[in-house]
Amino acid sequence: MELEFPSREWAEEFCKTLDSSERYRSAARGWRYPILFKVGSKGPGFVLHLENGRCLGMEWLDDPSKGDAPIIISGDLQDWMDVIEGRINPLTAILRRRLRIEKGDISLILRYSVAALEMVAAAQRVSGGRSGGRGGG
Amino acid sequence: MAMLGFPRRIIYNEPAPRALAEILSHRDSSAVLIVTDKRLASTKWFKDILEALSGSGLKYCIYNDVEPEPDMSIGQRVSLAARSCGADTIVAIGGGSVIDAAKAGAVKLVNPSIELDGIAPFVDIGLENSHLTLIAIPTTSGSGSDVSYGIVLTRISEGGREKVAVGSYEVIPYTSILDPSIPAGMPRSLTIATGVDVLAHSLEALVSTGSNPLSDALAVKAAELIFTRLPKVIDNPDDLDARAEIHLAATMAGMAFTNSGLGLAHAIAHPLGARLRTHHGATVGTVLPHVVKFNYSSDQARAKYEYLKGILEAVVGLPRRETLVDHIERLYNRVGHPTRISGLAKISRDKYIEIARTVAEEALRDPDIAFNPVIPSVEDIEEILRSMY
Repeated sequence: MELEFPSREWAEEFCKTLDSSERYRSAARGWRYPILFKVGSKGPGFVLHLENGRCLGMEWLDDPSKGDAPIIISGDLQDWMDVIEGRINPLTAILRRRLRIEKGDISLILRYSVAALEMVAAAQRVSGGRSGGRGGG
Repeated sequence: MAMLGFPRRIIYNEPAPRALAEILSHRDSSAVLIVTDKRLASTKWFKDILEALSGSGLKYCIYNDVEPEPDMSIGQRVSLAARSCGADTIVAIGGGSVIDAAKAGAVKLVNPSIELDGIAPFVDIGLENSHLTLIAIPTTSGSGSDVSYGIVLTRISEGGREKVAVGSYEVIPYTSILDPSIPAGMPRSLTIATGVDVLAHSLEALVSTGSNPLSDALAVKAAELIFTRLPKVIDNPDDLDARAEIHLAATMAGMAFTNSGLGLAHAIAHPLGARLRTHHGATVGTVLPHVVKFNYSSDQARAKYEYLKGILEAVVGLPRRETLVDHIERLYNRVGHPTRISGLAKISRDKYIEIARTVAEEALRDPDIAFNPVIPSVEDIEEILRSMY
């Protein structure tokens, strides 16, 4: 099933897909921080409750300024789409400021770069894009 | 959009004392802090550099307490030395550890409150808009730190020692001075270890997911220079022309990975070298062919490896081989560098297998892994580690 990003249905499916991904679970072992993802300057956004390689729940926010999380990542819709569709590596997007870490410890995020790549692979499966995950070629 | 960063100037094949005096004469410096280590500070060419500075009438101070693989506190110590000297120029004279110490000191000098392990390309440090000038004179031909945006330091915690690599375009030195007569004094073992480090920088930058035509050009040429010039220098350590080109190759590879990224070989070598207590360059060099073999499963990486292989065979004239891995192993056999861990470190197979899982888990947490063309699982990394004993 192909869902549109960003939407409540997409975010719910993304959380489920992450939760069932063995590769994400292995790469995100030890991660214990919810992440707030913000799209554009006015939203929407959603919080994923991520813990130890699991996605325990999703909280949808029409107005993400009313939400909070230990890690907040924001970006314009096109930049999120470029990441989800594999046109740019998520870490490269962060390093080039196309995605902005509004809150959170960058050194912690960089230590979980493989988990970030597995998240992109999961997002591609939700969006019906290429499977990603292994290999960039 | 790709953002690329380079030093303002690279001075190549010039005596360092003359080049440094020339650069400083245009920078209107009031005082210079030289950052180095005790061994280098006792060499003749170091004294020649001091003489050239004295001749220019410049005030200078020396901080010579940098030890190999410095910890996070080095930034504070170097910045204190710079402040008490009144320095507005920091000149790093040394290998990667010394240059990284000088970068850390420069960061802490202009931004005392910053945590060094929180440095990232999108974090404003304030160095670029300060009046501080950073100059590097690399004394080895390996790290590429003279032109790179990286700082590698050691974090000491209760759990042990951990290498931490951070990066910012603001810490790329203003000038790199490449005087090949300085690394000409390197012992054979260090010449090999730093040479294979350059090869690892080149090949990882070449296939990184952040690569671009500019970084590719630098990476391919740097690799070609290592394949052709390293054996010459090993055969004849006094071949200064070959030394000069290896010195330049190290800098080219540094610019390549700064503008592209590194990969799995570095992600593995950081925790592995820390546990085996082996030289970084030697470790990453030994890991490299095993990672290249693993990366051949990516179409993009394979195409680039084959492109380089084609140049080595058709242009340079090396004998044809099945894959680029064979060329790397042939080079190592020729210069005397181990292709397996058993040749690199004194560790039994059982002990090595015992640490393999932990090293694999630590490698998975290394930021360099993000740019590898094939993203491995922890099991993949463990398998690579097991196979390379």
